[in-house]
Amino acid sequence: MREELDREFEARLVESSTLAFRVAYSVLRHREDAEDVAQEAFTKAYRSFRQLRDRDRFRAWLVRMTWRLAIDRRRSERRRVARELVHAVAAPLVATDEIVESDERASRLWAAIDALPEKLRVVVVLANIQEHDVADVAALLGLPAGTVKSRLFLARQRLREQLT
Amino acid sequence: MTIDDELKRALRVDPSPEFVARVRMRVAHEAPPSRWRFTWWAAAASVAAVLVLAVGVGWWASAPRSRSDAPGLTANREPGPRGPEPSPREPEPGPKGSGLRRPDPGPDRPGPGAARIDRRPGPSGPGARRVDRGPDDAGPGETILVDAREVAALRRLIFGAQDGRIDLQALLKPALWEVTEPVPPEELDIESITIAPLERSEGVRQ
Repeated sequence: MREELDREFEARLVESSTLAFRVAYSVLRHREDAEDVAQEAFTKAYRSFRQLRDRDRFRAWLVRMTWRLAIDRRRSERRRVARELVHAVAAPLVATDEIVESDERASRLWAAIDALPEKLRVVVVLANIQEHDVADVAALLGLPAGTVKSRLFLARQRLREQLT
Repeated sequence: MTIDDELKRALRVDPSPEFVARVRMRVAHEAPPSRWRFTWWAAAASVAAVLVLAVGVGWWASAPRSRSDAPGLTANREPGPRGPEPSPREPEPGPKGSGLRRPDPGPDRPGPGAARIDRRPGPSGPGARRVDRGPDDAGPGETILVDAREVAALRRLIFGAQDGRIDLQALLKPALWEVTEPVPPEELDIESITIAPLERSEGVRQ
């Protein structure tokens, strides 16, 4: 029985590891911290895996748990100075000015996202991870699709106001 | 570039290649997923159940008094004109300091023929039996229903003992509790038991 559970958990782990990591990274912006938090979330998920065997339920639980753990971690480490802002994208070779400009732009973007209320922030982050559409985000957060759509609209509007 | 594009680009971060392996290792050291875990909602449900039980028991315990207003139980709390004091057939209680008081009517036993004893100071209804109470008894305004036959029996016992018609001292005599030795039975005549020897084929395990 445990082998069967472990097999199922392995499948969930492989397909959801990036999701959990990115959710944590969107809050912490620090690779190691994000991996720690995602790892902790997976460990907790494993302990309760009998109740989370359904794929959608597992992913929704994992996203919420990771988000919560990441928020807690960030609160406890507010004084951390060094934050990693390097993008994982294989950046093309660009001139130094472009790198500086890109980093500044990214900093402003994250600052604008951090300024959003939590319920708007989580929606806009999830909508931009792994090409999630409104229905996916609604399922992950356990919210009606209409609520997600309106929150997404509001979040984009506020981001636009702050970034332009 | 739109804000969504920027955000997508900013979130296109992948965990290190060792991440999944590290999770596997950590999970391998975990105990197997439990069948049932004591979660916060289970604790909350337990507390709620205990509260509901406590309220239910409290309500049930106080129910008999509230039921005294039921028809036939005559729990009239309104003060009426002062009725006649103890009936003529009941002798007056002894002098003060004799140590005897009128009986305390025990638990409520409502039913047909229940007598009403008003604890309130002041006038009571006709036929009501007032009982003197100590200051630590139930507060004013309470009415206790006691079976009339029980009241009469207790009064007869107390006043009988007071007058000397009933001797309660006899109950305290140790002779009543003396254990008498049982009379030994007469000599028993038990016939001796004879057992016939087994045949050769009997008693042999097949």
